[in-house]
Parts: sequence; C-alpha cells; structure tokens
Amino acid sequence: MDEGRRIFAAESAELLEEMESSLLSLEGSPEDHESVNSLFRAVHTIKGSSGIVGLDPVEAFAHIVEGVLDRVREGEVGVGDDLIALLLRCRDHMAALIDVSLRDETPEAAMNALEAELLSALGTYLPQPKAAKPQATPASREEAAPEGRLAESEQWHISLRFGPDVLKNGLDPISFLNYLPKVGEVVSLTTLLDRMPPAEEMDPEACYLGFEIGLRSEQEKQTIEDVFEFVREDCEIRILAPGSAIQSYVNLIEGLPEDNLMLGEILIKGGTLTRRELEEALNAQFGGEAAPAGTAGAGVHRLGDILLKENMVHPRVLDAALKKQSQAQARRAIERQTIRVDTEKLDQMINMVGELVIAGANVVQHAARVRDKGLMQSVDMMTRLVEEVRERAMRVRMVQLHDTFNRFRRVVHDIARDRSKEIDLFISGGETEMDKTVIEKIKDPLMHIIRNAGDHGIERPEERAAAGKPARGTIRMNAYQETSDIVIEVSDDGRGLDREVLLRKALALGMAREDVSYTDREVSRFLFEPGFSTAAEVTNISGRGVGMDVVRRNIESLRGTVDIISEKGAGTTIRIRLPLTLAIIEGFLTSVGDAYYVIPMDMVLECLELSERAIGEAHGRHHVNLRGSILPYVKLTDLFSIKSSVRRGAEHVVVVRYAGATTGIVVDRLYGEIQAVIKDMGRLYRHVRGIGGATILGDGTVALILDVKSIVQVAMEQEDARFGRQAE
Amino acid sequence: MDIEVKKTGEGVSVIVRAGMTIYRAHDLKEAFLEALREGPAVDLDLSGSPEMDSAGFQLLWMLKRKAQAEGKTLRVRHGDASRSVLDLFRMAEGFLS
Repeated sequence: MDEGRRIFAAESAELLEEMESSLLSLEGSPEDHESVNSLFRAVHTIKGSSGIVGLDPVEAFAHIVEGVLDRVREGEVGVGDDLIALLLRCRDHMAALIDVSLRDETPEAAMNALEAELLSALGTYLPQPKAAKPQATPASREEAAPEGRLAESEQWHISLRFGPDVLKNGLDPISFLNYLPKVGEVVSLTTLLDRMPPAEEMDPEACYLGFEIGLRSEQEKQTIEDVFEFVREDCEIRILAPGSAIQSYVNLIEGLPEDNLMLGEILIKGGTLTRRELEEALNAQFGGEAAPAGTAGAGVHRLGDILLKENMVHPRVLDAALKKQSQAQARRAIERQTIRVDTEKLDQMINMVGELVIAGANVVQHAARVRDKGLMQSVDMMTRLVEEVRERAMRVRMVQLHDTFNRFRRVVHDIARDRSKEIDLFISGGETEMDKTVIEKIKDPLMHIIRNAGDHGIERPEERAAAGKPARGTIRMNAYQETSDIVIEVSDDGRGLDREVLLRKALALGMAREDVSYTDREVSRFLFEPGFSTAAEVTNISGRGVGMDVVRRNIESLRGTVDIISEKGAGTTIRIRLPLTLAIIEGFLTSVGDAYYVIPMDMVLECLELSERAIGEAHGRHHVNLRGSILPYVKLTDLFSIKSSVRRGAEHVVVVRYAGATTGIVVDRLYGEIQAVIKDMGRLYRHVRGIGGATILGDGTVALILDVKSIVQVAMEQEDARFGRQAE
Repeated sequence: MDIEVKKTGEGVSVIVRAGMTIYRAHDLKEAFLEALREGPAVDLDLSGSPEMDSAGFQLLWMLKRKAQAEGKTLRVRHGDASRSVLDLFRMAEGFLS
C-alpha cells in the first residue's frame, strides 16, 4: 500500500471511531452541538481525503452522509433515534467500503445492496434534488468588484507554497496535483523550488515546493478549495477566479516570495495574464501609490485588502495566505503533542537498543576481568544509562488502554440492543499503558470475552428482576499493573458459570472423567478446551466459531495467562495477565554440559544443590524434600537428551513457580542474573517443548530461554508416566 | 547496498535501487553530495528505483542545481517512477539527458 493510502487508513480509522463516539453520545444527549460538529467534521474529512487518495466510492458515499449531517448542523433536521441508528449503519458501511477499496477489490452485491438501502434512507433526510448547479464562472465574475480592468483569461489561477513540514506530516504535493484533474483541466503548471537553500543546508525531509497552476474548471470556488482542505494548514494557498481584476494578480505576484519579474513571466506563460495586461497594471501601479513594490509585506497587505474588498477569496484561504508559516507552526506545536512515527523505524530503534544491551553486557564482562576501579565505575554508569535507554525505548511503544477499552462501548451497545438487554459498561484503569503491538493482539480476545459476557453472561431484564438483581446489567473492564505484569479484568454481574452444567458437558465430551473430583478452578478451565463451545452457544455475534480456546492460545502466545473466576448467579470475571515487556527479560543463566539456558527471573524462587543424599531419599523418583514439601523436578539432561558435565551430586536445582505450581529444574551450573534480549527462533522450533526463545550472551554464545510452563507440564507428565498416577 | 556510489573511468556512477522517498532522503542526499565531490561527471541511474515522492524529486533537483553550479555534468537514466513525477511537475524538459 502506498504511503498516502497507509496514512488514509490510519486517519480514517480514527475518524470513524470519532464518528461512532459522537453518535453514541448523541443518543444520550441529542442537543449536544459539540458532538454534531465533530460528527460533521469527521465525515467531511473522510470525504475529502478519500477523494485525494483516489477512493471514489468512499468519497461518493461520504458526500451524501455529509449532506445529511450538514442539515443536522444547520438545525434543519433533528437528531432522533432512527437517524442515529441509520448513521451508525452508515459508519459501519463506510468502514467496510474503505477496507474493500484499500484492497483494490470491488464491493460484492450484498454490500452494494446495503449501500442502496442506506442511500435511500439517507435521501429521506435530504431536500428535493437541487436545481442544476449555477454557472460557476459568471457568478464569480459578478462577485468581482472591478477595480480596474479585468483579465481576459478564462482560467483559475492557483498559487501554492507548501510548508516545510508537509512531507514530515505525511502528505505529499504529488497527491494534490494528481487530484486536480478531477476538478478541471490543468492548463499550465510551473514548479518552483526557489525556496530551497543550498545543498549543504537543505533539509532532505523538508518541503520547499511551490506551484503556479492554471486551471480550467466549471466548478465552484469551494470545490476547488476543497481539493486542498486536507493540507490547508501546511500550505499557503491563493486562488484567483477567472477574469479577476488584473490588480489582484499584481498583488498576488508581489505577495509571493519569489522574484516579481519571474512570477510575472510564469503567469503569462501559464495563460493567466497577457503580457500587455501585466505591463499596463504595473505601469499604473508605479504611477500610483508610494508603497514600495516588491516588498513582501506591502504586497501581502494590499493583497489582503483588495481580495477582501472584492470578496473573491473565501476567508479561510485568505487566512492561509496571510498567516506566516511560523505562526501556524507554533499553533500546531501547542495543539498537537504527538507525532506519527513509522512503526518500522521504532522497531529498528528498539532492536538497536537490544543490541546495545548485549554489547553493554560484553563490556561488563571484560571490565570485570580487568579489575580496574575507574573502569568499573564508568562501566557501572554506562550500564545504568543503557538500562534507562532500554526502559524509555520500550515505553515509547506503550499506549494507554483507554482508547482500546472505549471501543467496546459500541460493542456492548449493539449486543444490548440486539438481545433486548440493558447493559452498562464501566471502564477503569484506562490510563494503564501497554506495548502497542500487544494491545493490537489483545483486541480480538477481549472482543470475544465482552461478547460472551453480553451474550451469555448478562441475563434479560425479566430474568434479572426475578433473581432480585437490578434490571440493568453491568460489565466492567479494569486494568492495572502488578509488578511486571499488566492485568486486564472483564467482569459481569450476570448468571455466572454453572459448575454442574460445565462438568456434565465436559464429561459428555470426554474431557473429564467420572471418577475424578475436580476443583472449581479445574472445572472452569474446561471452557478453554478446544471444542467446548457447542453449536447452540455460537451465536451470530460470537459466531466465527472462535471459542475460548482460541482466546487462551492468543493470550498465551503473548506469554500471558487467562483465568476465570465465577460464582453461579452472581457473575463472572475473566482475568488476563500479560508480561509488561516482550523483548527483554531478566533471566537466570544456567548451563548443562556445553549448552546455556536462561530461566525467566520472575519465575525463579530459589536454588538448591541436588546432593547425593537428596537423590537417595527420593527412592528413584524425581523429587526432593524441600523443607517438608515434595518438589518434583525435571532434569534438562533428560528433557533435551544432553550430557551433563558435572558429576552426580554436584548438580543444582532451580526452583521455579508457574501459575501456582512449583517445580525444580536440574542444571549443572549457575551463573546468576542477566538481561536477555529475546530473539525469536522461528517456526522450526515452535514445537520444541520447553524452549521459549533464544538470546545472545555477552560473548556471542547463544543461550536458549526455557519455557517454564511446558517444563512444569513435562514434570507432571513424567511423574504420571513413572508411577501411573493422576496428575496433581 | 540499495544506494550505490562508485567511481568509474569517466566519473562517478550512482545507482539507486531504493525508493527515492522521504524514508531514504538523508541517505540519498549524502550519496548525491558524495558523488559530486568525487568526480567531474555524475551518472545517476534511477531505472531501478520503484518509487519517487516529493522529497526524492527535491533531491534530484538539488543534485542538478549543484552540478550546474559546479560546472559538472549530470546524466540521469530514469525509471517509471521518476518519469511520472517529472511529468506531473512538468519538469521533464529540465532532466532529459
């Protein structure tokens, strides 16, 4: 996808969200002018920018919606439930249309039929089709209060001076020039780069482009101006209608930074003025006022007066023409406190930081060997700084959960409406931050969980009343940080999980055994088994056949965990736990034979020696007595079929804890804490049990990162296999 | 290397395989200036560059202007991308080699 489209995709997504929240807001308070305005602006902007990137179907549809919203804005149409429902459907259709168009596909028949239906419904809010557009050219000729002679040319003159930050802000003059042919015939175009400083000083990312354009067009001035709507703040735009007073062109020339004679030539060559017209006007001018011609200030001042007097230029365009670039920039700097960053650049930077961490570790190692005090101090300082850079780099990718959570308001709203239930959504902890990519991946699981809560959790108002609950059900989304994890909770006060029903289903599906007694928690975990959701429960909303097992897998692929806590009749809470950073973890370095293994530090409890005596006491079983409790262990030599390089009795046990289960991992040697930059190992290794990635040590050796969860499972399975007992 | 500058018998050759866009603008500028420093004639090959945006166009213009100022020869071999931007800006004449 080219750059313009990529930006359009991102910005239109935001605008569509804006549209949705405005509509939901209006439902509650139909008199809210602020929401009406932001609704209008959102659609208006989508219309304009979709035209610029060439997505005509989107532009056409948005145009109609904008028409209706304009009437709402003017007070000619009232905000009612029907209109809001219609506009929500229109918003959804625009989202789908944008999606299809960006993929260069044509909409299917179903989509076209829907659009026809929506257009017809929108039509009822619009007045009768307007009479044919009044002739643009004669009208402006009338408006032009002649001050001196009028130019003969029949073309519009557009003068553009793009601001230096246009490109950095993601726009490109090329898009606008490509769009112009849609509003008329580009008769002449001159590209100006006089504003570019000498090569050494020029900023390769800044824009120095200017254009003088002659355009033949039947359109109204507004339409031509609208071409530049999207870049209005980043560009000086002056538009002169055909047959403007010659004096206005003169003033235009004087108001522009380039040399007057050159500009005059450009206008003549471009067909906007004839040589005679220009010469006569300049003669008249010199014979007239004392204001120094050629000084930009004087020129601009007079340009302003004349243009306003002739009422030829829309005030907005005049603003853009008169305002100095720095003013506009200063204002923007205050309003906008964020910049768009290409995520690829960010990823590259974070990668570099990872490399820096490794290189730093290397330095530490060498420094330790040298044992120079001054060096150690410097290295200490360096390590601290690298650590801080690392943290800040990770934090750049952190985004507040607030927006993500808010998107679910619409989901809850729709479910409530579709199922004739009453549901309120309460959100807390929205200011909690998470890595942007993790948030992207958590959206789908959360969506499914919320839909479940609305579909199956919250009961109908009658049922709730009968149970003594308030008719309005509540879903709560909460997020908070707990040590190095982010916890997200979705709770509802609905009917909760019925243990008996679940158990029966699990037995029927063969997932559970008759003779075993399961804890409540174990019963709730059946929900996460593939195939557990029955056809009867897969509704058209949750309907993609996505079960809780996929939710669990998605979350686990982010190295997170998900739990269900439920009480029959009272409600259910789904708790998701996600590690705070993906790429770098604190690890405990160990080795077995020649191979190095890293164990995530947050799961390590303690280390022991695996003495001869301890082994003896276990009578052949793989466990030790840890202060009175049994600690099962896994030997990495067994798990990975490698040879130990220390004798029996000199091994160590690293005690780890995962989701409540404690196990020991037996290794040869212990080395202590390191920072490990997790390197993905690729698909080849995905099925290797016990490994969750790799990292590169300070001296370049590769160490494998242990996947404690599967090791714990293996330990349990080994115990089973050895002694044919139930899993604990 | 997707932006290659090398000395040839007659001067300096610059081969751009990367997009002539804002994303490589700094690298492109550096390469262009280096090429001008190295020889009396620069041969710029854009035929393999898949994209050009305004930043790329500006750099091309910068190169031409500086070459002219220093009395050096600039020859440009265009690709579809650069040709279409030049056509849009109606600057093709200035760059026909």
